[in-house]
Amino acid sequence: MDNRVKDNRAWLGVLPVLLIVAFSGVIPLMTVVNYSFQDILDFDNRFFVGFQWYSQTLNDPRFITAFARQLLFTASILAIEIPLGIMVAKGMPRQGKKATAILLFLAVPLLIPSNVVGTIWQLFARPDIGLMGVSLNYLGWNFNYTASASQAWFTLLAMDIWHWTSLVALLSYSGLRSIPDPYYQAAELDGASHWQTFRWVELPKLKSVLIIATLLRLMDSFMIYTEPLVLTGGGPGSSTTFLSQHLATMAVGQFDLGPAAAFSVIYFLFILLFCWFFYTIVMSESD
Amino acid sequence: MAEISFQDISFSYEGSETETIKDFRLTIENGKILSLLGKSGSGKTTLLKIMAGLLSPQRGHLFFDRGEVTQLAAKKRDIAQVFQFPVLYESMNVEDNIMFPLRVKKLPEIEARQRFEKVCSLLELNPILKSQSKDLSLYQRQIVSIARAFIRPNLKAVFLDEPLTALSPKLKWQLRKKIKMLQREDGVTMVYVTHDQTEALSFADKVGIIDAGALVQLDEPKTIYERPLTTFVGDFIGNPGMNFLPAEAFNTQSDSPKKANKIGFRAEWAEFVEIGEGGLSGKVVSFEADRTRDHEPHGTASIRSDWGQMRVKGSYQKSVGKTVGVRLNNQLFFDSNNTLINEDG
Repeated sequence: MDNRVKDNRAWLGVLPVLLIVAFSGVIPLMTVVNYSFQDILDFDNRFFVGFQWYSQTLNDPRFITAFARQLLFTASILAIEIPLGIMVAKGMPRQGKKATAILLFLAVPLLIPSNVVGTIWQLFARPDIGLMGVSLNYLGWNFNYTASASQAWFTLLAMDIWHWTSLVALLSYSGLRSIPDPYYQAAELDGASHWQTFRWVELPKLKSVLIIATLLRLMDSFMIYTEPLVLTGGGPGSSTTFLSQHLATMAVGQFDLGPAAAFSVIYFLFILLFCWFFYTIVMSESD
Repeated sequence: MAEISFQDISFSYEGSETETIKDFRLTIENGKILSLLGKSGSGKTTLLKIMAGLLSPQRGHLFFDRGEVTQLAAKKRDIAQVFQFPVLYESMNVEDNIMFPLRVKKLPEIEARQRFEKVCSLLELNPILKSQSKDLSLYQRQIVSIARAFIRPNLKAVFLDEPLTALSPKLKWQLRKKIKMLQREDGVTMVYVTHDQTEALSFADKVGIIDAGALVQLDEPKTIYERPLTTFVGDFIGNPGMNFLPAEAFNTQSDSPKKANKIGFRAEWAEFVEIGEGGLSGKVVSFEADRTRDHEPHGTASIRSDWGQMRVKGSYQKSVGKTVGVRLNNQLFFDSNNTLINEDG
């Protein structure tokens, strides 16, 4: 016998959260989905167009190049930041005041807002007054990132690495610190080389933090917007125009709401798909 | 296989003012099992780490046979160590874990395989060879660690740092047997650090008692038990520890050596007698029976005498609170420095 008094009023307590989630997530997302199936001329003139915007977006060469660019950018920064972050973490002292100082120093770039980071590097890389720009020219490299696509890329990658390698380093450091000494001692007595110790002792213990680091950097870099906008404005030409900026141009600049909405949905699904793929592959390996 | 000798080794940890190890001298015979026994913080693990090359002593010399290894890197010493808690390569399965040291050393595959099969059959590891490390029980993990230590051929020595601490008594006993089998197989020198005296005494060829970073006594287990060189050893070894009473207590029955300050006797070296017969007497404070012999409860009695507390093993059928006589059948004498007085000279 269930003698408890049924009182469903408790569900009312969930209402505020439900409302917040609805207004912050579900309703905007559904609005976008709604827009993506319509051609909106003005407030009173809208037509259902089915998947027209989707096929148009997927066949748009500008979307395809922006997407390819985005993939290249994300792959590049992951390929550099993850190993570099691990190396930085491995090079740090295990404890003491020095370690604390380095940790604080490493955290600084993470605390700087994106548009400030963009501005810093915009100034830093200027060939006329920027420290890096002037130095590189002085060293004999004709450096002007506003004129050369490859130099713009170089500057952008340098900026992202400067901004985010710390995150990987901090996460890796915490992972390394959690490995008890006997693990290193056992490997040493077994005669393992530095590389073997890294491969069989450290890397397995770092796995979970590296998954988090990679996921964070993957999602974040895939959505990058502010920094390139401030630094290069997507140029020269459209050589550094990534997906977010392309989308903003469509939605805000040209007011193509339908195609922009379809674009957004595709964009969102891609990020979701990427993370899901990455996560399931990594997780299936560990079993 | 090697003889290991410490020559006046001193070691202190960084930032510590006292020396953990002080002018330590010890020779460990080739092919024997030595147990280092001491309380926590006595420096026994530090000694092990110095031998393994994981710590470097500030003063003194360490030799493997004739060769000095004081400054030699750990990985070049050809030794293996089993740690208190099992250390495995988590991403490898059992087989790869055990084979790892041989693969690192690039041992020929056929020889490696032979070693592997021998060690695995001795340790009965065959059913779990393909298991992942993370799926193993604590006991299995420690066996795998032990296998990884003993698989290496031509080792100078194997060091075990309280490897059985985390296990239940029954498993301890099983694993101890297996470790001994492995040691006999190769005749490798073995040093076994423990704070468990039963383990040390039942297991080792020789036992070294460590206290405050110094070797107090190095002897065979039987000698350690029967002739402790200091009152510390007497008290530390045995359950219960040795009884100590002032020498005057003994003078009532016969004369003790001149310098004698204390007499020491094991609980089983004394027996209950009628009051006045034995020279010592006291009130039984408690009695703990462990078995029955000839229908009489046999056990350990705690007795409060005029000279102090003592524990006596024997058959006792009276009730607690009665006064009994105690006769010593054997005893040792200690001087005022708590050191054993050698009656032979």
